[in-house]
Amino acid sequence: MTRFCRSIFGLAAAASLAMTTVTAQGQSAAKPETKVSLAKVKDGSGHATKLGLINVRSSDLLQKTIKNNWVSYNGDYTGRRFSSFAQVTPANVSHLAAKWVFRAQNEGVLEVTPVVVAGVMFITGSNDAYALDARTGTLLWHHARGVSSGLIDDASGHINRGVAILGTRVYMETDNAHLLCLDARSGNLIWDVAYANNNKNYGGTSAPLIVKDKVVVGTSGGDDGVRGFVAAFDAQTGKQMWRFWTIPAPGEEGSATWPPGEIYLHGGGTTWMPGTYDPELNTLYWGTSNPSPDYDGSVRPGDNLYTSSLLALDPDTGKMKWYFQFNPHDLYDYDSVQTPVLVDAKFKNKPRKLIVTANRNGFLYILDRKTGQYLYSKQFSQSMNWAKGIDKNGRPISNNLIPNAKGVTVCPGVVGATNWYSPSYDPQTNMFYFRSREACSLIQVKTEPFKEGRPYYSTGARRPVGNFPNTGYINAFDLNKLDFAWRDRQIGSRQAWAGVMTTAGGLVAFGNDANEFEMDDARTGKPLWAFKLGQAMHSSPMSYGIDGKQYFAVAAGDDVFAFALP
Amino acid sequence: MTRHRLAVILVCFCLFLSGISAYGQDKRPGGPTHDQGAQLFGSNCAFCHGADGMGGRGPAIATLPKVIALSDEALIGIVHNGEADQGMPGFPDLGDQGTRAVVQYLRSLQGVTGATSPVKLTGDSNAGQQLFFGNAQCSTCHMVRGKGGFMSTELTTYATNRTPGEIMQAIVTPDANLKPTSRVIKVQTKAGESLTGVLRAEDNLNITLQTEDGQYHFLPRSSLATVNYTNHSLMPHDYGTRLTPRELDDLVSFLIVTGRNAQAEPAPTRSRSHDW
Repeated sequence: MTRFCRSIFGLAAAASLAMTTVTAQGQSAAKPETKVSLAKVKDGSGHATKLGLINVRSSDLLQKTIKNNWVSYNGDYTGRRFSSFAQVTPANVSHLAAKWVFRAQNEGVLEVTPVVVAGVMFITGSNDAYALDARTGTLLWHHARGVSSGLIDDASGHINRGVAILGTRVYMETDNAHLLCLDARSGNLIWDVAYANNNKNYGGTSAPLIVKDKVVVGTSGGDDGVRGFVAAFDAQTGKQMWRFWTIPAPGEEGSATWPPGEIYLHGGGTTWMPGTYDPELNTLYWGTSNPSPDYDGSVRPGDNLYTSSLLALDPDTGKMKWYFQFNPHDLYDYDSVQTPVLVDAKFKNKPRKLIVTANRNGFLYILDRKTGQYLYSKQFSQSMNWAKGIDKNGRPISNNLIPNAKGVTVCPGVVGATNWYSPSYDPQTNMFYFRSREACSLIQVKTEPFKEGRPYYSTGARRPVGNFPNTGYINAFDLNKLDFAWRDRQIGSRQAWAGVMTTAGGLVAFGNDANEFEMDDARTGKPLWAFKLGQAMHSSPMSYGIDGKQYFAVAAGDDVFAFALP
Repeated sequence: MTRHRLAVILVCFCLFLSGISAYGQDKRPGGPTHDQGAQLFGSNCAFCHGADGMGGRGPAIATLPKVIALSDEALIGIVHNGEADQGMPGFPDLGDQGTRAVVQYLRSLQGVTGATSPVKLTGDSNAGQQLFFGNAQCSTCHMVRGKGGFMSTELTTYATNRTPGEIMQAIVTPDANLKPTSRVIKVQTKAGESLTGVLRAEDNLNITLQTEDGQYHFLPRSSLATVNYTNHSLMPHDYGTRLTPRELDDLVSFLIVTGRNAQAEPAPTRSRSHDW
């Protein structure tokens, strides 16, 4: 800022135009005016961070420990949602108390994970973005765009999962698949790029991921006949740097897994959750959705690459390094967009770079993240009928349940044995934590053509009549024993879509099935504390720090709640 | 009481009543009253949009730029017909006068008059653009289309539904309508440090100000020795004399053209190209 504004501040200081002195007099008028920041906070990475001053460097995004700053949707690039802040423990968590509530205007149910940097919290919902003082919940600015009309399916819920941040800018997707760049100090719009233009059925429901100098985004619409892609944009200018289509065009590698013709343009494989990134391997990991049309496999014979897969991409060029397909020729809406959590741990007594992920199909997988090699799987769905197991190559041994006009009952159901809500890995317990669901669906099929402006499930799924389960679990999978340490059946009638996080203090935090934010002992799963939020939970919790105090925040209903010890 | 006296009292009373309603009358002759608009808004709109138009079940129509940018005619249409795909019902029973009153009231919540006729440009908007980013130094604090400073109001759609006169006033007498979040304050802490910044938020216990480097300072009042509220924003008071009438005109025209272009933005083009 130039001397011009400074001179205005000087004017304000000197002016005798109706100034109101509010509190005690007595300060010496001769004291020189100095601009001093009143608080310096050291974050976990050792950088001194001035509270309230937003300027995120690439090195901040590379933080290996999460303490004061939760710098992205998952807090860091591993996606493990493990906070190194150990202030709150099983011994004192009973004193954890609500500190403030912020109500977002004009929102549906919030699915955001807040980002906090230098004591400023950024949240989104229904195309709007907000900056809050993370200590008090006071609104600093509100960027109001308002929801878009003419959208279908998931996009018409105007879901938004949050911001990415770099420098003095925050980035977000909109419901109609625009990427916005906003000034983080004011909420001003800097640029707006429409990134999915040739099919009305695209939407954006995710949070972008910053990798080096690029903003990486995906889309929704996997149930609506769009052609999925991952795209990267220059963080300064908004220019597209690369685009990786998840459905190959005829002649491209993988196209033999689709019939010829134009179906690839409506193949699904969307990319609607943020991925993870390994800077040492320089690899971006991003999951893809089910193929379109969801339930009618007759129009798309073949394995349908690269739907329901994990992609390992070069973040500089977008080229694919390897892929692993969880559900070839999926017929049950089993997306594979769940966070591919990066874990460095021993596997069969050898230290290894792993990916651990729980899939909608009811299996937990361990992959080698250098090569994509399938290492291990474990069935976690207790009521499964669609597959006998996974073969030695990681391919499901399907029971060939084919949905038809009358309807076929499939377990897990279409909402999956798990879903997009966040998992967590705790390096102290060496356990992988995630929420699961026991439920089945009656899936019916009628072959239909693709139509822009309408979903493309062909046809539908509903709760089957009869004695079928409908229960939620919070699970802890021990990577030493390769078995579950504990599985807590969730008691309550509310069926949250809420994820988990873990802390160095020894806690696992999550939304339970009674509209409560709960904390359990991470080792044993013993419930220790819960706070009744009183509204539906469709988000995952996070943790941050200000002035040596550990906070937790989670969204529920239209509100964001923050908690800390007294 | 005699009949005569009663008649006098009644006449005086009627005159009194008509005098009261005149207080609520807006400036347009024969137009609906502000009171009526407030009352209708309260009973029909507030349920979804909030009594202050700041949203709730429905959008924040008092602050959403794209709603502020709509013409009065468009707003009247929305009130009458509703917005089916957004879940808003129509209110045809308000009638012509009631609808206008409600739209009028919304404009007062938005802080604009809602110019309905296309405004004639009297200045050179290109020269205005040069000034904005040059000698007039507006871009030091203001942003237009992503370019400029962050400390003050974003101006891309500012001119939509504001008359040239209003815009001119805002430039030459910037403190006439001082927004609380634009106010400059100067504080001294009990530790003896000084801070000057824009007051972004406050309550009984805390003050949040933003200094020119963009940093937010979160200050408990208990830590402050003095708080001086000035009655101005950052904006210079002397544009009326620093700039010639022609230059001011050019600036206003630049803002009007910018606002028009923002409203007229085409929808993203759709193509079969495989890159987009």
